[in-house]
Amino acid sequence: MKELTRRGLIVASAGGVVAGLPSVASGQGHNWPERPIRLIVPYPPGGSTDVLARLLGERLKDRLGGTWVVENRPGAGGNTGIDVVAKSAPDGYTIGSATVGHFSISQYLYNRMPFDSDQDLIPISLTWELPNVAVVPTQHVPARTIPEFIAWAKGRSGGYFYGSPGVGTSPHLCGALFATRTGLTATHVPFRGAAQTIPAMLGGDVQLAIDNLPSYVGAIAAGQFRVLAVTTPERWPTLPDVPTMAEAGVPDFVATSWAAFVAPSATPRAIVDRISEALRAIAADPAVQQRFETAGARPLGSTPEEVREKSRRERPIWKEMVQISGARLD
Amino acid sequence: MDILHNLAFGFEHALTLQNLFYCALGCTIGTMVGLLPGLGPLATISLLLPLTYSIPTSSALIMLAGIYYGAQYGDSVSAITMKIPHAASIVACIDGYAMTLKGQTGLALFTAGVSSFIGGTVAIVVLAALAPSLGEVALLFGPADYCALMLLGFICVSVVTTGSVINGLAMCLIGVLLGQIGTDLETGTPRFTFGAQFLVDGVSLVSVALGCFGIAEITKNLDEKSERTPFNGKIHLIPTWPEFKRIWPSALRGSVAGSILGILPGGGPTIAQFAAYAIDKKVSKYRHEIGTGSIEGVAGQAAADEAAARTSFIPLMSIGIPENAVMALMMAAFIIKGIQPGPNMIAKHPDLFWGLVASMWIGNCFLLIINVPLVRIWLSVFKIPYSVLFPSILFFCCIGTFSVNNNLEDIYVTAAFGFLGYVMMRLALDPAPLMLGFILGPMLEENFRRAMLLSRGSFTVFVTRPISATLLGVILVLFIAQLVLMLRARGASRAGGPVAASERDTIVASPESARN
Repeated sequence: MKELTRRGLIVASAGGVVAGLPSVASGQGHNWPERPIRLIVPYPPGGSTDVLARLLGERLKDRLGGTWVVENRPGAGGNTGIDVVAKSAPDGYTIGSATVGHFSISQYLYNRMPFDSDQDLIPISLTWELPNVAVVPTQHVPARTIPEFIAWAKGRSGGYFYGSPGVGTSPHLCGALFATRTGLTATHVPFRGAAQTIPAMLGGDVQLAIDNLPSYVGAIAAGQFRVLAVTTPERWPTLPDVPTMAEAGVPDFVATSWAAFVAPSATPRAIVDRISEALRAIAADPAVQQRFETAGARPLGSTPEEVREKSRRERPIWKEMVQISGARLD
Repeated sequence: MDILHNLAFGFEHALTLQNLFYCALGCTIGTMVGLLPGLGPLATISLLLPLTYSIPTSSALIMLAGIYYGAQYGDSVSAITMKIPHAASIVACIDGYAMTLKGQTGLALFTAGVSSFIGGTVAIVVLAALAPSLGEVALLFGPADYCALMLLGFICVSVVTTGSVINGLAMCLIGVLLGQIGTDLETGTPRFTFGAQFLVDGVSLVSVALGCFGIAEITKNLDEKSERTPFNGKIHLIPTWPEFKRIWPSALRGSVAGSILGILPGGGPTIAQFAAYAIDKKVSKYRHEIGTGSIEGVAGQAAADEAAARTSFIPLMSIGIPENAVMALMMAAFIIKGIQPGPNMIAKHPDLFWGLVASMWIGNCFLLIINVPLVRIWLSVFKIPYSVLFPSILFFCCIGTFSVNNNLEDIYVTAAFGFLGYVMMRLALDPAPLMLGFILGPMLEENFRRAMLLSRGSFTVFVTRPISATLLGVILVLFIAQLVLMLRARGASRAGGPVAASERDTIVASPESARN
């Protein structure tokens, strides 16, 4: 009798521990992912952020298992989607694809932001970066280098027009900074995306754009556009003949568009670390690097702390650019 | 001939069992998506995009394209039978629904199906023969030219208005004002947003269309005690020979209008339908019937819609520029597959382009079969009593609205427009000109300000650019012609003749106010 009871007790307690394990474990992320994970892309489907996020989602599914579903939540220049991430449950099932704008630019553009990227979000890892390239339409602008462009622009009465995907976007800020640094007269012409900017440039209405590379890759390859400079600190691997802004004679002009995955700030650290590790491994994969390269970007991986550091380092630069451009979005 | 050789090459790719399957799948999904109120091809394609990772590129392209142009076939059906439009079938609500009320549902559906087939065929010919060179045409249009084109579009206001023209004008301007809601492109200032986050990007076209047409119509049907179904008697699908003959001229005109407008970035099916309707109203032998439920009203729109959907592939395939959101998704599908769309895509990937053209032809035939004989099956849904049916319709409208931005607030916006639509209906105010104003107004403003910016404030740009000057000239000619007609009619009536057609327009005689 006593033996049975003791055995019974042991079995019961063992059963209790086993039953309790899943709930303890999921609190620490051991059974994660059990349900589909929402990867929120704060831009419309089809754009470069969307495409690259989908590529990463595929790879993450292979590495971490589970179903990764991309959900597009466009609006308010990308703020709506990231706001949704910031306010969702911190259980590791909602991840967002944020860009440099959310971390380092938006707070200077808007009067009030619906979320605070330092308080409400925890970054998981850097995901990719892409350069801004200074492009001119080959048919209408004879300049082959930045100094030639400056000379050509000075000769034009009234200056030149530069295009961008909208007020407050990095191409706008870069264009304004460029005009100020070189002392040229330039007028900003906002469009709705590169799909509108490119025809305007090919038609001769707009002469310059310092825009994201992915949107122009095809047109550059076909010879319709000439790249005068890149805005990264070093030369871009797929454009080895194109000088950096510093090399071309415009010092102190570094502006890359980078992206990072984020989660609500209370998400368990174990889950964040797992995804971060996976993203770092994915970025080192040559097949992924090749895919991103064709699209005009470069995959990155990092720790969450590195993302915070990068965003803080870049804030003064972007703040200055916003002030110079005079952009203000309410 | 080169084209025949290319087409043979394309058919070789399109007639594989796999591609045939994906073509059929895409067309079927597209038709269903078009039939269902609310849900549109954009949401469906973005939902199905992950599926394309694992299938070969040409099959993926064929399937996604099938969904897009298949949806244009189907969206006339929901407009004709339930007065619930998609963005590209707003005009079908006017004549198509009027035909349903007259008991001619079958004729309307047959007309829509056959006209879509004609539109698709013409567009395929255009694609095959002219695609490489037509891409350049899109580049010729600058902001001043677009502005002039939008101005020309505003002439359609009197055309789409049934009832009092003054009310139509007022509705058009209200539509323009509604289009102002959102963030100004040039300065980044929010307009009419009242601090609400969900209005920062404006009101979506889907919300306005579903609310003003669909929800308002459902509310009205519930209001009236009589059972309203599209089955006023049996459905006669096969038309008489004279009716069949009437379809052709209108459909051909619509196809040409749709093919041309589909190439312009920012154009596409939404604008093409209004253009076809307006052209028919000016030129057709039966123009006095348009607006009260005539074949021409349905045929022109269906053909233009379908043609524009197919030719909108041209800017993407020939110069690598996506002209609307659906094309941007196609471009994303390419990029995900590792293909960089750009200029000379036709030359670099001929199998993709010609395979697509060939599969469009196959899809066209397939869609004709689904939509004409088999539409009875779709219509048997309406045998369900309305009290059970309308919650499902509302449900699909909600899904459709939500699917645009995955945003719950959009549904509230649609509900608000539903209420507005009901009020408008009670006051005998026509929502069609409101839609026209809502679509054209923001484009007109954006292009006008951009044209002024680029010309540094000089208005002469509108006459120095050839396309803009031509379009403004056309507007002037139409205006003068109308004036002359009016004066001549007034002269005749003063001489004791019958009331002239142009004067009849200003007399308020809308059917709604008569019924109330």
